[in-house]
Amino acid sequence: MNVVECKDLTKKQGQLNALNDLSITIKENTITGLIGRNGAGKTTLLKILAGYWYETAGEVRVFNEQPFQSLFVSANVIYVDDQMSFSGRLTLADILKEANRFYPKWDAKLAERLFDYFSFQPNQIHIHLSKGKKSTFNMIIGLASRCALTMFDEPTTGMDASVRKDFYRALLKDYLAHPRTIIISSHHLEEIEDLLEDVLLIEQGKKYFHLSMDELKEYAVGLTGRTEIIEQWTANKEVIYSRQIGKDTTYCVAKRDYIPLEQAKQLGIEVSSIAASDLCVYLTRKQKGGIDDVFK
Amino acid sequence: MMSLNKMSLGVIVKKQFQYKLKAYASVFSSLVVLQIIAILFSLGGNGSSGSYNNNLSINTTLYTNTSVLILTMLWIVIHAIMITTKAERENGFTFVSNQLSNNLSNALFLLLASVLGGITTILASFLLRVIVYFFIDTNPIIGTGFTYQLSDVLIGIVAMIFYLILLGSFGYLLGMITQLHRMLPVIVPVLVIGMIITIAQTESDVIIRLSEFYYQETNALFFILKILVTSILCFIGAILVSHRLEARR
Amino acid sequence: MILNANGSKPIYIQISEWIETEILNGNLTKDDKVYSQYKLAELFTINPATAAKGLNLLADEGILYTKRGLGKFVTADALTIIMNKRKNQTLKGLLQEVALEAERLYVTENELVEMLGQIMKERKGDSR
Repeated sequence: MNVVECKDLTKKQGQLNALNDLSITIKENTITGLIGRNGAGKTTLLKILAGYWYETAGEVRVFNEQPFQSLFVSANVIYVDDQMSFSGRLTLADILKEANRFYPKWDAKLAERLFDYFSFQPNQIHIHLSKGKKSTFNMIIGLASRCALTMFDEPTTGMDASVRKDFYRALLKDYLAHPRTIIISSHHLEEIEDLLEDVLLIEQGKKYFHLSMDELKEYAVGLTGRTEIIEQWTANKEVIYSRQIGKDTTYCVAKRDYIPLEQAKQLGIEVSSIAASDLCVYLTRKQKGGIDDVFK
Repeated sequence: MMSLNKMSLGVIVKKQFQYKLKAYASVFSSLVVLQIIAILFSLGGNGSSGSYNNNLSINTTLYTNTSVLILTMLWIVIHAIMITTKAERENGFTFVSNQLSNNLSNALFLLLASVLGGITTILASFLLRVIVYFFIDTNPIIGTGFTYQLSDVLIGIVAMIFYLILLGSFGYLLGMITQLHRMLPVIVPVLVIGMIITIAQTESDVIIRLSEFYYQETNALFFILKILVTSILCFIGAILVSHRLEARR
Repeated sequence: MILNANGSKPIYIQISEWIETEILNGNLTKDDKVYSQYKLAELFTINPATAAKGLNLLADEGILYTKRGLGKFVTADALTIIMNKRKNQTLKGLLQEVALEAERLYVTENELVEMLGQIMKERKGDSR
């Protein structure tokens, strides 16, 4: 069953199309990474799925319902980001108690254990927490609510390396014990890629691709070799990125399709794999060239 | 097959209402502080007059609970507007919610605030009398009904509660309208104040007639009905206005 | 084992290679039950679907067999299959790279064989 279905989903924000004819489906009980550059439309998509924002055009269904203003969707979806706001009157312990009342599948034991593990104090106030602590606390709410669709928007903002690692592991362990559909948006694909089953890359409000993590890993290869040979080899192939290194050596990233790698190796072309996160960066560059061109 | 949570609107509204009782606890503490201040002000007397005649001097000091009344009315309007602000609406959407459930739980909250405000206002006026009687004025008190029947007290309370409901729902609608566009928080107060000034200058009796519509109603049932209908209309208006409002902007 | 996330190989291949190594080392033998996809996911903090893909790869190659509802088990031929595969693929691949590097450095075949002989001798000495 599909948990999320979008068809030609468009969201206008002012003059800009934050989402532009986006069509996606997300399967039940998968972990999907939502990847894209700043302003690509990740948060817009998630907020529409959470029922906070309405779509300008197109169709969106979450659990077969239109999410905007739907209590059913709201009861089964949680959206976690660093903007979550709680009344200043409530202590952290109060907030957990309130969350428990709202979410039928809330796991109070898990919440309490994580709360203690990350050394929160029950009488702390949410707005007084540091950035990283806030993110950590919000993550606890996201995990313990056990919502059938759980969305984390840049969940690790401000977290230190060790907390991030703990978070990813906690997420995976809880997912294994209680499978549900999870979407994580992140700039740090390299940190989350092991957790992911699928990757959805969006760029300027459009879907760039929606692949399984393994497909993504084999999507492209890096080729290093003499410039003329590389150019000859990639003449009619899809080159994603290319850069001159040294005098007459070129490194290029090309779509793997139809490239006979064994043959390439024979010709002295060095074939390397390319990290998924780098690939996403190359794919979503606004134009050819890069920051170097600014300084020319 | 995954199991999905199914929760009715009623259940969510109840939960949200309980959440708001905790989150907005300061609304009630501010009421207490406000009424104490109002009582202290009133102790000075709201008006006094004196006359001197043939070795006989008469000084009268007027003690009324008008300040308590007015401050409590202001209190409900301000808080009604405040819970429609962006920050509070976002707090409302932290957990399970939609605009309808959020509006309904706010209505319940304002209803409770009106009831508490109504009761405490009338009780505060009794407190004022007691303080004046025992501690301030040893002179005779000529009360316009210094002693009351219980039924009078109850009528006072009910009337006050309904006035607060009326004002609260009006403030709520006004607040919600101002949320529609980021220019409205500037425009709406200007319009409202401007309208009042215009009405005052043109000596139009719209406001007077309008307040008479509620205030002069002597039939209790009609009074309650008029206010209830108006308030419900205000809330329906607020719900309609907020229907396209996006949460967590 | 810690998986090399940015490494040259997709995670599911790393998983299958890890199980192969377990079999080569004798930690898993004929008819032993191998870890489930969930156990592997937990072990390496990876998505269970990825782990399943690694297991299926081994099943396709005849290294594991499935007992319905019970999990995956090591086949009788597992060891032979793995050894053959590694010889034909891994070792050959490594040698190709060695050959390429030797070409760049103008190292002759004889020199290369000599170097290899030396290394193998040293290793034997080490293990003695």
